[in-house]
Amino acid sequence: MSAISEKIQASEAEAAAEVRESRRKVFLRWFGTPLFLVAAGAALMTYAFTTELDRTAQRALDPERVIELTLEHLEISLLVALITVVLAVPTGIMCTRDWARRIRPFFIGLANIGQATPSLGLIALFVLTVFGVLFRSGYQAVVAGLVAYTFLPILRNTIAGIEAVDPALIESARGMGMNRRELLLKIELPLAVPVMLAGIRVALILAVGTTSLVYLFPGTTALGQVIQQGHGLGRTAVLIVGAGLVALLALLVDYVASIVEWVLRPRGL
Amino acid sequence: MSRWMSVTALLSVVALVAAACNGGDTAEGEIDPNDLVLCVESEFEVRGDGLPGMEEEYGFEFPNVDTQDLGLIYSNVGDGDCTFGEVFTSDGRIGALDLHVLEDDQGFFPLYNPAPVFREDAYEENADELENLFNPITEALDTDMIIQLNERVSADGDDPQQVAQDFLDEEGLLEDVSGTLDGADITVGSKDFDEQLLLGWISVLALQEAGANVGNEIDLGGTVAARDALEGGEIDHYWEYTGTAWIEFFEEEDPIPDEQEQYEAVRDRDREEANLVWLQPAPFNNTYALAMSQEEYERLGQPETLSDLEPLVTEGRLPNGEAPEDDEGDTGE
Repeated sequence: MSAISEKIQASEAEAAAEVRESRRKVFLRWFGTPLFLVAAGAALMTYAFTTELDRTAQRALDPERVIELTLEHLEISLLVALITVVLAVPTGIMCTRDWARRIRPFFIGLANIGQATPSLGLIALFVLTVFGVLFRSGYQAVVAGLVAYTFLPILRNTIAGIEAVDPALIESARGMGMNRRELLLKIELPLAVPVMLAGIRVALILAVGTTSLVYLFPGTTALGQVIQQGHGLGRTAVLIVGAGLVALLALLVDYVASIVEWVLRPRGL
Repeated sequence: MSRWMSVTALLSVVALVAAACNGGDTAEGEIDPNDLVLCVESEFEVRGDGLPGMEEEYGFEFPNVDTQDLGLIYSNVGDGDCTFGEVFTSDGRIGALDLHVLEDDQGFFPLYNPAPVFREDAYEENADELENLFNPITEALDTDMIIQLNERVSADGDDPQQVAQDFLDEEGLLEDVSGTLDGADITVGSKDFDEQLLLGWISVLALQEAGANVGNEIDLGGTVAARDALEGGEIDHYWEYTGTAWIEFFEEEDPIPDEQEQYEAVRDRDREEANLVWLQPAPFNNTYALAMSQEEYERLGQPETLSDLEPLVTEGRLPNGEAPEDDEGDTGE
């Protein structure tokens, strides 16, 4: 008798521990990254403003200017990610349709080329070559180049997500009388969402990192400029702040995307 | 399915239009200073002897500054995408693209006149012969000449060795030098950009013609690499710029605004501290400048100097005092 009650108590304690454990996980999920980002950001700022800076370094790290560059960096990366999602998700869905089996290798190949080409070369290709005339401004051409570079992860994950849906589920949905559109919207897409979102997160981080290069091209600036100024002029503090800010921005964007992913993730059907 | 696709298409159009909407329109004939783009390299944007110092010296600021790669600046100035661009005054692309270089009327930018620099021991052995060989060469290198030579290398893709040979032959600089340096061993170096390759080859060919045994270490790398090689004795000579020595080697903050004074200061100090001998410098000066295309120069009232830009970039007023063409005074919004 007492043995049984001990067992019950033990399992209750275990359950309580599990609750605590999962609470800790939830806490970490929501607050761990922001706490880290704030701490790292504060460390970076402290470093920047306690190091003795000469006038050149002060100009390069002028707060107003750094904020402006950070915002433009964020704007370009988010615009790139948005356009890529809008273009790559439908392309991915199309590639999984029966009628598109034949043209699918073409799209995947194109996206592969985009990813495999060095990002700098790809942007230059859009800005400098015949593609350039398609765009009204350097800004658009740069954004287009970055979209081409970040296309693959979203395309690939959209295809993989949809193809990973259990064929038996699709069979039974058909059996329930769903037509193709209902099948896509109610079964395939919701189940593919986690994989697709993982691809979007990869694309976001790629976009934030690669946006660093846009300062080389007409019409755009970003934090890469601060990195280059630190490197080119031999001001290490400037270099560290520039690189640190890009890394923090990438982590921040990834954190926000992880929250979105957690919210949108289907919790069973 | 088709509805799904059309929604997507609509969204993409919205996104692209949103991306397109930066920058408004101005009425015809009016100049908005914000449309006058100054294109610079990222370093020039923060260097004390670059844009910040220039704006301070001239007392006005450029409202629209765009950073980009130096190679793009020349072509973008050429086709008018950049109204003004940071250039180097002896670059061959100035000639190739027919750019108009604005005069630094306040004498702000440091002076970078190149001169042949020798290790003291290599110089002492044949001092007079080296002076006699090199001084006519440096004298012939004025701004027009170096732009023309650089243009052949940078824009036409000619071999720097061939361009150097043609220069020496056409200017008749090797006529009386044969045999003057018989038996001398001299190793020549250079940095890694077109103008330096050209100057390096000029030295190699001239020294060979004079009978010296010439070691060829052209294309060593950047400034630091070339200087280290000279100080370390791996090379006996390369061409260095007075301003580079003053600012980078001696770490002086303020350039000397007179070519001859700056040369003498560098020459004396390098002789004393590093046992290096500076022969006389060339008349051309490879420094920063702002340039514009001939079309923009005409459109914007033919500004000749950096000071002429002030009314343009602060108020959109043409520097020659005339109102912009077609300006009725009330065409603005």
